[in-house]
Amino acid sequence: MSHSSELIAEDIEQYLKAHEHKGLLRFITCGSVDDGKSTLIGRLLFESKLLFEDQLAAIEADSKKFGTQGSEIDFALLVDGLAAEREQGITIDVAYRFFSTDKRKFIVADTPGHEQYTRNMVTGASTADAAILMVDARHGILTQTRRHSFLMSLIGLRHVVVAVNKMDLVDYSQARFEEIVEEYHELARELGLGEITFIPMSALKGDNVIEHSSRMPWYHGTTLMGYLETVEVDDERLQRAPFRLPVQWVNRPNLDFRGFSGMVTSGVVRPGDAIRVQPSGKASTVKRIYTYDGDLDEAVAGQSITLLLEDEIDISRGDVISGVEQPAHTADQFETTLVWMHDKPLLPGRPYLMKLGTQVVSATVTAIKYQINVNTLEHAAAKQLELNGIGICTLGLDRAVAFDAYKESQDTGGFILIDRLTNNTVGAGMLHFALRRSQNIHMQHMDIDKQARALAKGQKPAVLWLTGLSGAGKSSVANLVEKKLHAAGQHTYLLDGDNVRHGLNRDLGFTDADRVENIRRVAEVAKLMADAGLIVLTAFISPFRSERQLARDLMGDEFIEIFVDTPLEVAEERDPKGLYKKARRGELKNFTGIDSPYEAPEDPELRVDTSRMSVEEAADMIMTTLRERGIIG
Amino acid sequence: MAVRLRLDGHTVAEASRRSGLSAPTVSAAWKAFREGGWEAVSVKPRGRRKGSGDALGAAQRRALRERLAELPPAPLPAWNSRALAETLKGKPASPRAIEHWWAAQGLTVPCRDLHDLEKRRSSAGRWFRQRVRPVRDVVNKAGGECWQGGVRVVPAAGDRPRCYQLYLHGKRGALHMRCLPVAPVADDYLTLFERLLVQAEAPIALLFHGAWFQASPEVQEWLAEHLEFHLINVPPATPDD
Amino acid sequence: MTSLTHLQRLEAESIQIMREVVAETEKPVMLYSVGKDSAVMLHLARKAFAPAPPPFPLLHVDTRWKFRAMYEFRDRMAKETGMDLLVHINPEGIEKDINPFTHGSAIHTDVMKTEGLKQALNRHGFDAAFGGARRDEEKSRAKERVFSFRTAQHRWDPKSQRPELWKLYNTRKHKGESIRVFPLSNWTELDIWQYIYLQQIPIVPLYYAAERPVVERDGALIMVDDDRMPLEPGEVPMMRKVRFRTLGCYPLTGAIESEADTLPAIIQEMLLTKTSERQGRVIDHDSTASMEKKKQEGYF
Repeated sequence: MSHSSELIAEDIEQYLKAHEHKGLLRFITCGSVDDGKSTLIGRLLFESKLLFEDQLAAIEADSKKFGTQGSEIDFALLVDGLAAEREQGITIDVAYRFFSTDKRKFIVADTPGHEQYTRNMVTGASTADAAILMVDARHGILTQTRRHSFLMSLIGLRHVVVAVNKMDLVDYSQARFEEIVEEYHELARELGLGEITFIPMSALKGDNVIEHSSRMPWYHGTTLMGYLETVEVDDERLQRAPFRLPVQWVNRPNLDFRGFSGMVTSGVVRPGDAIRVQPSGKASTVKRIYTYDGDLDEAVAGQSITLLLEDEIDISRGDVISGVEQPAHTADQFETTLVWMHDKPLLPGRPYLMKLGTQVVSATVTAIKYQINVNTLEHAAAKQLELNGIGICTLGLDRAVAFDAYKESQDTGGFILIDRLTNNTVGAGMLHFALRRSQNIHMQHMDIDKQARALAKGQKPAVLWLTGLSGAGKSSVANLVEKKLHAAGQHTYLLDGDNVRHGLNRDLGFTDADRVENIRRVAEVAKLMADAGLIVLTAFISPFRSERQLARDLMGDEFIEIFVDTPLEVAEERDPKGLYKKARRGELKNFTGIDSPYEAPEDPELRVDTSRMSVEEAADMIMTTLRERGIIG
Repeated sequence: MAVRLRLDGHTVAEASRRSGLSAPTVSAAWKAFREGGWEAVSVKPRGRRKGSGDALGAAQRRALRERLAELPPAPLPAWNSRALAETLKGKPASPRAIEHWWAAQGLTVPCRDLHDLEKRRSSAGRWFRQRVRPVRDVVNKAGGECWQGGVRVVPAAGDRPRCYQLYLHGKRGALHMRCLPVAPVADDYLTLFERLLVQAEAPIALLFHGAWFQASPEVQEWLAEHLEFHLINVPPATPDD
Repeated sequence: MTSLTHLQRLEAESIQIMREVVAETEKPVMLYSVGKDSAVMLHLARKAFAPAPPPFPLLHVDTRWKFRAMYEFRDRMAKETGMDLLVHINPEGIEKDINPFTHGSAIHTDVMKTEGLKQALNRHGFDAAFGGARRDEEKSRAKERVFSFRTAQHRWDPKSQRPELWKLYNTRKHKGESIRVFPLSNWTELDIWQYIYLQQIPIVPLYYAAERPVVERDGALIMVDDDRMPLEPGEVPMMRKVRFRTLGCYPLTGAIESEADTLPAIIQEMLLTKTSERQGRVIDHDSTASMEKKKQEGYF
């Protein structure tokens, strides 16, 4: 199993060749020192011969001074840190250790089993392919076993080995082992843990660690090392998953080269593949997969690459490039599991920064649905999450992000929360699914509020939201209303396609996703202007009910929806910009009323039909409504 | 022995030092012992091939080691096998027995073949033609002698500790040496140079390997005062040799 | 299905880390020590940003006591990569003529390396610095994060170190604070050598065994790299076939006797003789200053 010294001595080149093709397995060990975890890791390090003589000598000296194993080497001393280190008060205590055999290189994340286990273990497990769960054969399944198992299920570890340790202290009893296996199976079912392997062993005596134990002839399964060397890493599952590349860096050394660099987090990509960029929704085709060592015919999950596309589309850091068959989802409201990692508790309503893949957005926990007790797995209501608390929470973002459910893809579904003031990483979370955009986001309280600002202008703010087909007359009506308001001494602003599409929203097209985003931004801008005390008029087709609902939710009472209701035939006949004709000829895609739906308002504050009244009449009608509502005098 | 030292609680490094075995060997033996007891530890007699220096008794070998650290009687620049044999008390030993003992101790140094270098197209060959041949010709013409030599570290073997060996090859490649417990200093070299001049009573060319005389002001000064002594440093081995 | 090898996975991880730093920090720099780990780190940086040269300069905090071969190699690499090379020498060190002989290795290292590094970072306003340290170098480094946060005074504060989950690194910091980033955290010494071999990465010739003039100092073989090396009266350096397992200031770096003059031979020797590499550094034996202390003072 270990490095074959003979081959090293006789044919080093042959040895190097063999070791070029080794795989990598990252695993975490869960359990306390009492379970023999340190002894086990120490033994693995020792047996893989990657210990140096001087290290060994130091440990032997330590064994005599501090060891608990008499004259034998105390393997635990190999991994337990120095006293000074323990006193340092490092916030996150995860030690990474390395060893390798002829088959694999291993990275062990070793977390202390005692205090702060939750944040330590979640941190260590987040990068692990597999987990070793230590169980003391004498004690069986304990509270901490449940706790560790729950955290493993939370983080989605797919390969778990339950090491039933200290079999030497129960006389290598098969009955005892099977009892524990049965008991654990029940727990695993409860938690929905997948593939589990049970190994009876003694880390101290070396039974079933590297070699099969003659003292447990009844056990025919694999040894621990055998397991670690052969357990499937998730390469295959990851490569079967849809292609995702969160863009880290746009590489543009000259005009002829425009590459999008990042790590493939799942799936496979080849030149010629159709891709979609999220959240913008733009599409293109892969032209080249560039690397320093030459172009690739194929790149798979886990590789850091640079993609070149056929089309010149605008892509920036934070975007996710997806395979076109199953692109990433986009949303700004989620249900998540949150693990709190900081002394200062999580407060719903407080904005944090969220890093998801390469995207950084502002995020607010809108509600804590319930908190989970890691020991009992019971649910309980909670107003805030304390350090090591785990809660099912809803999360609202300031803009939509591309994502996948965590259970589908860890790298596009796992995120961290960062405190805006201290810059600390305060929480880690896993996205489950997107929520409807219905909840309010709690905002920062400000001393000078909307009322104060409006008072200074001597008016009541409002948002007059004009919606209707292209050519319905929204802009003409809005324009006239603004003139009238201005004449009356009101402070106003008119938002329309012309001043928004060319500036704020010039990155957006006319796909459904882009239209949604277009309206969301307009709604946000209108809200800010209303906050500033203005009477805001918006003149957009705004075809979807859900986006108008979003705007209404943002504004509340000041939102006045005005349906500029003109039959399609009339609008099409007017066709002031000749767009309907183009759309009919198929030159214009996604044109509302032709090949993209218009969802008429169900209950607008006002309805004006410009096919039956003049622009002047319509404007007067709106002015009347404003007077009735007490917005203008 | 190493395993017994380890059983006594010595560290690998310590056991290695006391037993004279390398650390990996100690480690392997210890591992074998833990896994399979004494039977698993392969106890092979070390080193010493048959007949090597057996002609000499233990006291004689100890005496030889002591002699090698000292200066030979003047004007000998370093010990040759004949001079060493003559110092031995008790059972007389032949120079040949001394040479056997040298070989067994790893003290034999082969003499560099200069003829071979004459025609080489390597950088060593170039060095010989440009640096060595002209000097040798001058010295030969003046009736002087050409010597080769060097200094090196010889690892411990058997009961002989590690030592710093000064060696010379004289006429017909006859080996002369001194074995010091510490690195030779300028005085050691200068004594050797002076004796070479005295015994030859003529100019000397010495091809020397293994010392960085450029850094020694004492040696540089002496060389400046003794123009009849031609010291040629053998350059470090290059891959195309 | 394609299976990535351990070196491919390590390479991809390091590249991902470097790209994150460049994307999220304002003024990154690569600490270039000229050693083999630096060589690998530089190679990975070239891969990460190709076809462009890495978008940051190299910074060599010079002590004036490095091996001559290191200076030659350093200048050659800067030229080859097309990167800016910044060399900083602590002016106070020049003024007071700080050197390892009269001031001892502790003071020399502190003034020239630790202080010099802080000066250079402050002077140029770098907010992120790549370093080539690995977790396997020392037991106390096993818990080091990939991103190590420093206060404006360059101190390492245990409380401000952040958990690193998945591939997510939080790079946010206040004005004046900086980050040391260790993209090779998960590499071992063997990985480094194997990668150098596989990718044919150029390294300083001092790693290969050759005859070099050395003297013995406290059991260590010290190379007489120039005439500033003080010799004992009568001392004559010997030419011995040696190589270096780590590189630093020549008076503080012990050589080992070796016949390994090819990469496979070096790897072979490393695998068969088992003394961990930092043993060659005189700096470690000097006083009881632990790694921890050096880390807090900003040495790494």
